[in-house]
Amino acid sequence: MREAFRQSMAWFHTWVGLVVGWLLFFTFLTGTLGYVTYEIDRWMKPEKPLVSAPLSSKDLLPLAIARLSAQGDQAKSWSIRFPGSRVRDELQVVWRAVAKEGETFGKFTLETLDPVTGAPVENAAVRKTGGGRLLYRMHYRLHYMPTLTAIVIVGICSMFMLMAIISGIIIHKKIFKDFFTFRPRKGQRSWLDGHNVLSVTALPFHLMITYSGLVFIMFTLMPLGPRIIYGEENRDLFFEEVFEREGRELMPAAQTAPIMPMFVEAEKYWGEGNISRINIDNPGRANAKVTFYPHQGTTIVRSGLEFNGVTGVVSEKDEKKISLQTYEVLTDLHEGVFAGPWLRLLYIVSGLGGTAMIATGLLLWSTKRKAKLAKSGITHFGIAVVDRLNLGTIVGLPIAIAAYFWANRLIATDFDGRQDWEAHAMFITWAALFIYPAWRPLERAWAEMMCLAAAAYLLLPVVNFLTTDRHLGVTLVHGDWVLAGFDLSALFVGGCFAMVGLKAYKKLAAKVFSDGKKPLTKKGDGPVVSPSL
Amino acid sequence: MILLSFIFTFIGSTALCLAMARHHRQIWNRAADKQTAWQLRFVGCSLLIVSVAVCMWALGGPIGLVVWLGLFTGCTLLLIFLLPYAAERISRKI
Repeated sequence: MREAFRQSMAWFHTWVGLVVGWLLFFTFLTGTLGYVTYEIDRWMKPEKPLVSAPLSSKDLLPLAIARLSAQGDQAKSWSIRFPGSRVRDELQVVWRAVAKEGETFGKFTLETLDPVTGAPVENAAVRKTGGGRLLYRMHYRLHYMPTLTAIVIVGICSMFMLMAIISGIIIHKKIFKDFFTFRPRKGQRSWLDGHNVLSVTALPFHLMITYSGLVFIMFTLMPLGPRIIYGEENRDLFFEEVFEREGRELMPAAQTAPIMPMFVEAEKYWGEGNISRINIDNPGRANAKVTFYPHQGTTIVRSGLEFNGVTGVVSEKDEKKISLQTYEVLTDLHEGVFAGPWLRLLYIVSGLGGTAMIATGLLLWSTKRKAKLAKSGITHFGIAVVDRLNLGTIVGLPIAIAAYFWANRLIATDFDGRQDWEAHAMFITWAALFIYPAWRPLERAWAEMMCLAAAAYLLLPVVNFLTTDRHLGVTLVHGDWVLAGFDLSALFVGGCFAMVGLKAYKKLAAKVFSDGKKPLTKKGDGPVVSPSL
Repeated sequence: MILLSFIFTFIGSTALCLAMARHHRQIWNRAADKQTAWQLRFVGCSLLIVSVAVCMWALGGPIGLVVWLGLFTGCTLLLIFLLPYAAERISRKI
C-alpha cells in the first residue's frame, strides 16, 4: 500500500513537472530578476544621473505639500515619496481623486517634482523602456495576453507546482540521509542528486514562494466564496472589509494640522533620514490620517507611524485583523520588501536555486527515458521534442533576456514604440532559439547555445560601453554600484555560461576522438551533454 | 553580524555533514567512530543554534529568522556542491 502510494506520487511528480515545468521556469527566472527590478530599471535608463548624496527629505517636504495643496481639496489621499532608497532616486507626489460612481478607485496621478523648484518635471530625456518592471511583471502577467487570462494560467501552474513540491517530498525517501549527497560525473545519478539538493536545501523558500504566490492571486483563483456570501453587487464591500479600507462616503471638512511637526516627530521615531514615504488619507477632512513609513523597517510587514491628521498627535493604531496580517506577512515575504542587500542576495540565490531545480527536473525526465531506450536502440519522437523544448527554455530564455537588454541599448531612443520592440526582441529571439535546435544534433546545440549565451552576456558591458556613457569605466570610478553591479553581474553570468559551454565542447571533441566520427547525427539519441556537472 | 552568522552556519553544517559515515569516508576514507560522530553532531547543532541566535539578535526576530533560512540554504548549497571536489583534493593529499 505504502509503496503503491509512493509510486503513484512519483508518476504524478514526473508528469506534472513536465507539463508545467517550462512555464514555471519562465516564472521563476523572471520572478527572481524581480528582486532587482529597480536596479535593472536604472540600468535600462542610462540618461538618469549617476548616484549622488540623497537630498534631505525635510527640505523637500514643503515643495511636495505645496504641489499637492495646489490640486484642491477633492483628493481621497495624498502620498509623498522621498528619494534616497533603492526604489527611488526622485521626489514624487501622488494623489488619488475621490472615486466616482461605478469606480472602485478614484483617478490616480503621479508626478515627479524638481527637487529645487518643486515644479513637475517631464522625463522626456529618459528613453522609454519597459525596464526591470516589465520583466518582473511577466512572471505573473506573461506577455501578449490579457492580465486576467495570464494570472489564471500562472495560478493553475503554481497550484501544480505546490503539488509537485509536496509529492516530491513524499517520493524522496532519504531527505536527511542524502541531505549532503552530490555525486558528480555520474550521468543520470548526478542529475537526480542535483535536483534533490536544489530542492531540499531551499525547501522553505520553494514552499513559501509558491504558496504566497498563490495567496497573492487567491481572489482571482477562488472567486466564488465571497460572491456567494456577499452577492454580485457587493464585491467592493467584501474587499473593503478584507483589506480594512474605508468606505467611500466623505466626512465633513476640517483643517489638517501642519505636516512638518509630525515629520520631525516621525524622524525621531524612525531615525534621521529614514523617512521614505508619507501617506495622507482624507486630506482636509475630519478623518484625516497621516502615516510615515521608513526606508528600512524592523518588521516583515510594512508598518508606519500614524498621526491623527486634525490634531497632529500620534494615534494608537488599531490592531489589524489576523487574516489581514497573515495575508500581508505572506505577500511581503514573497516580495522581500523588507530585505536589505544581503537578504536580497540570498533571495536571488534561492530563486536561482528554484529555477535550477525546475531545469534539472525537466532534464531528468528525458535523461531517464533515454537511458531506458538506449538499451533497446529505439529513438522516440516525443523525447526528441521534449529535449528541444528543454534546451530552448533552459538556455534560450537567458539568451532572450539578454536580447531584451541588448534591444534597450541598440534601438534608437527616438524610435516610435521602442518600448514594445524591446519585448518583441526578447520574444523573437526566444522563438528563434526554440526552432534552432530542431536542425542541430542535440549535444552540439547545447554547446553552441551555451556559448551564444556566454557571448550575449559577456558582450553586454561592451555594448553598454559603445552606446552610453554609463559604462564600467565611469560607474566604477564614480562608485555607482548599482550600475556597475549590473555590468559585473552580466560578466559573471557570461563567464559561467562560457565555462559550461567550453566544457561541453571539450566533451564533444573527446567523443568525436573516441568514436572516430561525428557523433549524434540522428535526432534525439544519446544522453544530454551534462553541463555544469 | 550576517557574516559571522554565515561563518557559524557554514562550519556548523560542515560538522553535521562530516558526522555522517558516507561523508566522513569521503575525506578520511573511513567512517567516524561513534564518539567523534557525536562530538561533530554536538558542535554542528550548537553552531547552528548560535548562528540563528546571532541573526535574530542582530536583525530582530522575524527578519533574522528569514535571513537565517536564506543563509542556511546558501551555505548548504555551497558545501554540497564543493564537497565532492574538495574531498578529491584532500584525500589525494592524505
